[in-house]
Amino acid sequence: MRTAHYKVSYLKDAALFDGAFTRFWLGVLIVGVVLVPMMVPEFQLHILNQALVAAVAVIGLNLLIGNTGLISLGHAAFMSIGAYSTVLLTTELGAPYLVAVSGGAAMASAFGIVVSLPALRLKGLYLALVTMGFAFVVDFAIRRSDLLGRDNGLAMPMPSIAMTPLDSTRRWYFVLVVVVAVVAIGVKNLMRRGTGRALAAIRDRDIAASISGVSLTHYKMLSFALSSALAGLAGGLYAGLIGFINPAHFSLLLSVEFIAMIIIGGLGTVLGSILGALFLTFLPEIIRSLLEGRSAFLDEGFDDFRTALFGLIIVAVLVWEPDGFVGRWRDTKSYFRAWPYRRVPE
Amino acid sequence: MSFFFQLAISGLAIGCVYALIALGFVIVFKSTGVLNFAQGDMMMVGAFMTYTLSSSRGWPFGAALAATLIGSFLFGFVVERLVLRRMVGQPVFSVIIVTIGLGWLLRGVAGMAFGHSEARIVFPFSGDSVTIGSVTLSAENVATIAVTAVAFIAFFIFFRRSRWGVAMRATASNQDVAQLMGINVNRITAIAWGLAGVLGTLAGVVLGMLGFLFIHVGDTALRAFPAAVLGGLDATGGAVVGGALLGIAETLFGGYFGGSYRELMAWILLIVVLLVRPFGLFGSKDIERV
Repeated sequence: MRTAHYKVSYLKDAALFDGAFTRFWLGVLIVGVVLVPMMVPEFQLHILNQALVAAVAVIGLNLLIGNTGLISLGHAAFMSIGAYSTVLLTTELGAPYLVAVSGGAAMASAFGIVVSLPALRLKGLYLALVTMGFAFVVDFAIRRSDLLGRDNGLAMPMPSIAMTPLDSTRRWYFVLVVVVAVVAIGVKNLMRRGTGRALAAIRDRDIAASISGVSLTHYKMLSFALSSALAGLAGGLYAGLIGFINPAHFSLLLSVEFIAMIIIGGLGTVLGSILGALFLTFLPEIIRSLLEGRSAFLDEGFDDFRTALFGLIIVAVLVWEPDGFVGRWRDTKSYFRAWPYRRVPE
Repeated sequence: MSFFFQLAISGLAIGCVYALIALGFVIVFKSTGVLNFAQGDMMMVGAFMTYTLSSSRGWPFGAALAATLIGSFLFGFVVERLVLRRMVGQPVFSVIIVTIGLGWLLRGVAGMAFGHSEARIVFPFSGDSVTIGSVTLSAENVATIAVTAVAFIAFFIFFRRSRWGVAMRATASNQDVAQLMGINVNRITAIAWGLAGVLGTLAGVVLGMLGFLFIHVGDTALRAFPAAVLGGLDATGGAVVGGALLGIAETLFGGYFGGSYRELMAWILLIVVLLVRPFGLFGSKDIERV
């Protein structure tokens, strides 16, 4: 049992991974992540890749919703802006993949800043509706633009990084793991700094925050810009991974799925975003494989079944486990730390 | 000119459907402060129930409608007891997502139960029409406008005069104080959801009569959000004005400039109005204490 948790130097307090215990489990995690592609079959690795792409977008959205308290129902639109920009930069200008993906993220970020302008005046539900309206406008524009392939979408040529074509699921896996790790550590670090505290202050009481000298304009725009950049990055990765995009990939449903991932994982935490993305991406596949061939009725109506199940899970998690996986994990940890007592004494 | 009036009237009928859906949003929002994203799917389920009872089971239209209305009112109580009562004290944001989850659950189950084909509800006057001057009104349009007018007046009186209506307004303005004054907040929530279900069913049946009933019609219902917001989310009258405005604007726009842009109309109007008046045209501004 870990009794006292004294930090005797500032360096130690600021360290991301303090103590031998944390470092040991971090080592286990890294070994595990490296070993995964050898252990799981190709098809499941592909789904894992999709979950990692979703994780990038969800980390971004969580920054906005969980840390800043601004609700966006339009993140699928930012993702589509990133994806389309990446494809266009590749096919029309012949940009290398890394440049194209960065360009996509920058483009999404620019749109994010534009959308953040109404966010300065609007709050809560009204902001949710405006972002939803924005998503519909983007979807409409894409479906009517010849350059963007209308309803049919665009094909993305095989991307390559440093002369290495990303032609296998395994290579993609390692690229995506690195991206997720960089994004996760970056966002986690940002949240431990003054920026993170300013965002939390805006989330909890925005007027009080502004009186205490936190610039609402600056931080709300920053939060939107970062969040939409990450969504755009996820879009660019998605285009490369799947090799093909069309407007149906980025519907309102996707935005809501991202929010569901955040809630199931845990609001305002990076770990929660990743867990939520993994869980909700794998769940339908697991259920599909369990039910396959068992019941003709469910095979036929699988999409409906999936929709209903997603709805049920969202409702159940919010009713019984409002803090998500991360909350459950925290409770479990504190149970063992406090044993034989019920709670850690304050 | 008669083209204009023709368009305006059919726009008014569409607008009335929006207004009915928007009124459902407003009822729940006014009494519980929650934006109910499941409204569209509640509407769809109500309409399909009426359709199945009247067309497939051969019940008379009136009986099928009455049974569905009672069912959808009770549904509100079930939702309150199983879900919303446990959400008291949670952030508004979580409650909204719960309503999205409920909507998906309803849509998934409805998809498995009713299938994915389109349906048209037949009611006793289907196919009749009235001609006034140069403008022809179909029975569906007349019924839509009449239903909306009656529903609106009934709810207006309900909020102003009845005990429940006043209790609802008290709950909306401050839940804790309302509870201290002896108002059963749980019951009020249940009634609000029940009434939203009733309004949803009415809107769905009207849409079904106009021939727009399919499993994803809930997405169209999302366009009633702009209608509710245009009027101000906490104003009953605003919902109707917003809905009618939106319907007429959409139909006129579609009639003169070509159909595909009309879907966008609602959202552009929403964004513009909110930029100018962040609380809607008739909504009241929240005064915040730090």
